[in-house]
Amino acid sequence: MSKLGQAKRIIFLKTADGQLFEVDEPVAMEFEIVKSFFDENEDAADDTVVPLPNVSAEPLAGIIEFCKAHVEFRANGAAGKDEVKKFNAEYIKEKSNEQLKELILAANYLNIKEMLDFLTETIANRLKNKSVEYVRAFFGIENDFTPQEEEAVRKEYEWAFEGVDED
Amino acid sequence: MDSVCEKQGKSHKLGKDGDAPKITIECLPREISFNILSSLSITSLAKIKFVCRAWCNLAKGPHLINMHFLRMTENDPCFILQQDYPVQDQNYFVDFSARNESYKALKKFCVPSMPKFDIVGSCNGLLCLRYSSSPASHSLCIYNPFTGDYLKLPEPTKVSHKEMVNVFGFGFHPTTKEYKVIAICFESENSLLYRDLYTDKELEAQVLTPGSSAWRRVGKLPYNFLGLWSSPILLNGRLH
Repeated sequence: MSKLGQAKRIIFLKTADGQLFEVDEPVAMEFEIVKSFFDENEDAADDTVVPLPNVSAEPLAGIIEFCKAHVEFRANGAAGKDEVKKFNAEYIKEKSNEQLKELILAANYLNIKEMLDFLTETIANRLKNKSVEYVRAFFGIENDFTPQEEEAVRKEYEWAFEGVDED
Repeated sequence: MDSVCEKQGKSHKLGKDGDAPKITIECLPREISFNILSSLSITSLAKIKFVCRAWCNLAKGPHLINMHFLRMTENDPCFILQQDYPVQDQNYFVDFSARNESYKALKKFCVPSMPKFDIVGSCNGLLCLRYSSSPASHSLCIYNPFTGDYLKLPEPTKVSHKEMVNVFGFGFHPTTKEYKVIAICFESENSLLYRDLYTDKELEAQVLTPGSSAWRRVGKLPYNFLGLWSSPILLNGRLH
């Protein structure tokens, strides 16, 4: 903790695929897992490399981008304003479903609450009012109902199937 | 530490070089799946039952429903409307959590087990229904329009040989975390007429916790009805 106050400290993070990231301390401290690493090893040297064996470079780069922007928003007192919403919308616009899932897994491992909440909401929005087939494909789930069973449950919940969006 | 890192890094790369392995639901921690699913609208949530058997059970279990319900009460209330004209007993719900979805949020649902009924009250998405075969009908049931589950309730205890008229209320007791149905009963010479209400009838209150077998008589009421034209409202544990 004693080192938190020092100016412009750089934290080194190493991903599962062996890439080294240099991250500004305030951004790296958004990752609960990194923060507790330094809390537990107070006398860790400044050039300590924190291994992140469950995260690969691509999602980590995306996460750093997100956290960096949000740290700045907070510093400028812009948290919760339209600026943030605009950034968030832009941020996810180009992300594929697969990328989103990689991000949420990584954000979960790194334990970044704000980003996790945001990704959860984003994925839920993508699933909203989609067909059952789309949801299955999204989560990679096999349909294990027999056609008769499926027909029976579908009849019971006809209202849920009115006006489903195209996938 | 580093060597472990290298190893895992390699195996990950192998996966990437071939067909990139898709991330399936098994890879996502349960907590995340629950968080995602509980942010869905009722309509979308109802559909997850068709995804596979495991999710069907998930959707029927209390955990996901409770999480979803907490979110709903914070953000998105839902209305249930009953329409009697031009066709009787048409039921709709307005799903506000679906208001951003590009379709109408008004959905029709039906109560398959009951052809004719009045809505006594609703609470936390559950409906308390009364068979409306006659105005003095005492048959009640609790119905969940989204799961289709329903529970028939026993009739209130008869206080005398005469016909009884009951006014019902349905609510949730926040301290005991139980649902309660309250009945205010009085004798009536002719149960079809509410004229008796305005005379000084003795009123008695009874309480039922759905799931238990009998109503509990809680005593006489010191008040009279003002009228029965508006439906009774159960608010903060009190029937108005």
